[in-house]
Formats: sequence, structure tokens, C-alpha cells
Amino acid sequence: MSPTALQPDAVHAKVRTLPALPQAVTELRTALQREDVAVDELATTISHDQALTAKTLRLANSSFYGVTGRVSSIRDAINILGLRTVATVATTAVVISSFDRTACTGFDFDGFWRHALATAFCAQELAAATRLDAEAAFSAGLMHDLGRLALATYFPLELGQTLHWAAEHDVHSLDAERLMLGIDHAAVGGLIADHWHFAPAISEAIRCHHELPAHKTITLADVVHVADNMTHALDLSGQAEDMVPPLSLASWQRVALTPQQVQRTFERTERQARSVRESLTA
Amino acid sequence: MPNDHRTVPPPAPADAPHGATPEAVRERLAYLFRASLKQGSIHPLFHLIQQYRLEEHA
Repeated sequence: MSPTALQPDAVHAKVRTLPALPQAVTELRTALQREDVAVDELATTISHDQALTAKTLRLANSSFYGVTGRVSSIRDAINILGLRTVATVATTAVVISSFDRTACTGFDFDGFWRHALATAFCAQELAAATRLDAEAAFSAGLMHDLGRLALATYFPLELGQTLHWAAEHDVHSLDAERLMLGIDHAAVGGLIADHWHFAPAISEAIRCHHELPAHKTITLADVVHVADNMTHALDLSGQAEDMVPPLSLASWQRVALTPQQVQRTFERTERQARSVRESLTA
Repeated sequence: MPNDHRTVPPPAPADAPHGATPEAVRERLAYLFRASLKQGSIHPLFHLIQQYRLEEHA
């Protein structure tokens, strides 16, 4: 049934070839766990990585953060935006640049990033409404479909055939991946998250955003799952043939938004997604 | 078997020939939610997003 099924070993081997996150990003994320953070030392470390500095400053100066043109150094960025936000910005910049525009037929690279960004903003809103870690939600939302980007980069022929089959049969690409490839993008994303040593909650959100674990209380995975659904429903990817995936009722009930929170999340997600995406993908 | 009854995706309401009319909004939403509608179920977000879009374009 599945001429393009991937061998698990081949997938694992490709994930292992991904470069490690830059040391500056690793140090930044580690520093967030400590209370005695030496901001000056950290700023110096990041500043030594010129590519990372340039990407971080471009993003920090985007209209989303409301400080356009005022951030001229990493030290400024930390002072104005705060350490946690700079860590998110730097991680975002690095992840985006880790995967080049791919030659996979049927894979819409720009649409992919538009959806990823919208999901990140939506997840951040939902986390704020439900008192979860908003920065972690942003990161998890941004990277929730990373597995699909990896499939497009490393298995372009197989994913291309899968996307073609999904379009031809008008089924959700997740179902097509499982049927044709024998693995889905969430599972591949989970492998990458482990490879990059993401926080366990973020790894779980990436791995489980289509298949939620049976938790009694709300988790980051619930937030990303609902955010993913909302951004498809808001039609923010710009993809003509987009399709809203199934929503887990248990997850929706754990997120438990009021009508006012739903309205606010829709409004803010649309506004934020439109304001910043050019800065990120330029 | 390929699905021979695929519909042409309706444009986003802002790009619709007659602008963001309620009809254009409904058509696009029905298309986005086609997976659950084909199964005869109502996606929990369907009415919420429809209300939001129709108020936005009212």
C-alpha cells in the first residue's frame, strides 16, 4: 500500500545530521534556569556570533515588539525586551535558518512559516489566558510542525508524493503521512526536539500536537493543539487548499476559554501574525 | 481512488470577486471545515469562527 514508506533508521539518521543549536543559544536557554544570570557576559557571548546577532536584531526590531529601530545591540535587546524574550527571539531566528527553502514538490515553504508563526502567536495568547508559560508556548507553537519541514528537506520525493496523494484524495496531510510514509510529522518533530534537547514540555507539545496524552490538567500540548486548529480556521497560512484538522474535545475542554477569550485570541492572533511574518521570513 | 468530486477552493473572503460578503465568508469556512462536514459532524470551532468572521465583515 505504501511504496514510499520510510525506514525508521533512515529518519533517525537524518535527524542526527542536524547541526546542534549554536552555543550562544544553548547558553542563553540554560541561563534562564538560573537566578544569578550575568547579563553582560551573556550579551557578549551572543554578540560574538555575528549571524545570530544579525538575525536576532532584525526580529527584535520588527513591529511586533513595538521598538522598531531602537534595538541596536544584544545588550539593548535584553534591556528593552527582557532576557526571556531575547532567548525566544534568538531560538526562533536559529530554527528558521536551520532549514533552507526546499525543492519538495507541493511543499509551500512560505505557507509553512505563515502557519508556524500564526500558531506561535495563538499559543502565546492561549497560554496567557490559561496561565501557562507564554514564551514556552510561543516556541512550541513556532516549532510544532518542524517534522514536516525536516521531511520536506530530507525526504522531498517521498513527502512530495504524499502531499500529491493527499491533494488528489482531498484528505488531511497527517492521514496521508501515516498511510504513505508510515510515520507522521509530529513523530519526526519529536525526534528533532529530543536531538536539540528542548524542554520536555516543548518536546511533548511538538510530538503530541495531533494525539494528546490523557492528562487531567492543561498542558502545553493542549495549547498548541488548539492553537494549530484555530490558525487553520482563521485561514492564516494563505494556502488555498488548507483544511482544519480534527479537534480533541478533551483538549478543548482543558483549555476552557470564555467567549471573550476566544474573541480576543482570534483578534490578536490575526493582528500579530500579519505584523511580524515579513520580518521573520525575509 | 482519487476523489472526483473535489471542489475548487473558494478564495479567502478578502480576495472574493464580490468582496468579503457573508456568502463568501460562509463558502470559505465550509471549505476549510470540509473534513468534519463530510463526516456529518460539526467542528467545535466552526460556529465560533463563523460568528467572528461575519461580525468582522458586517
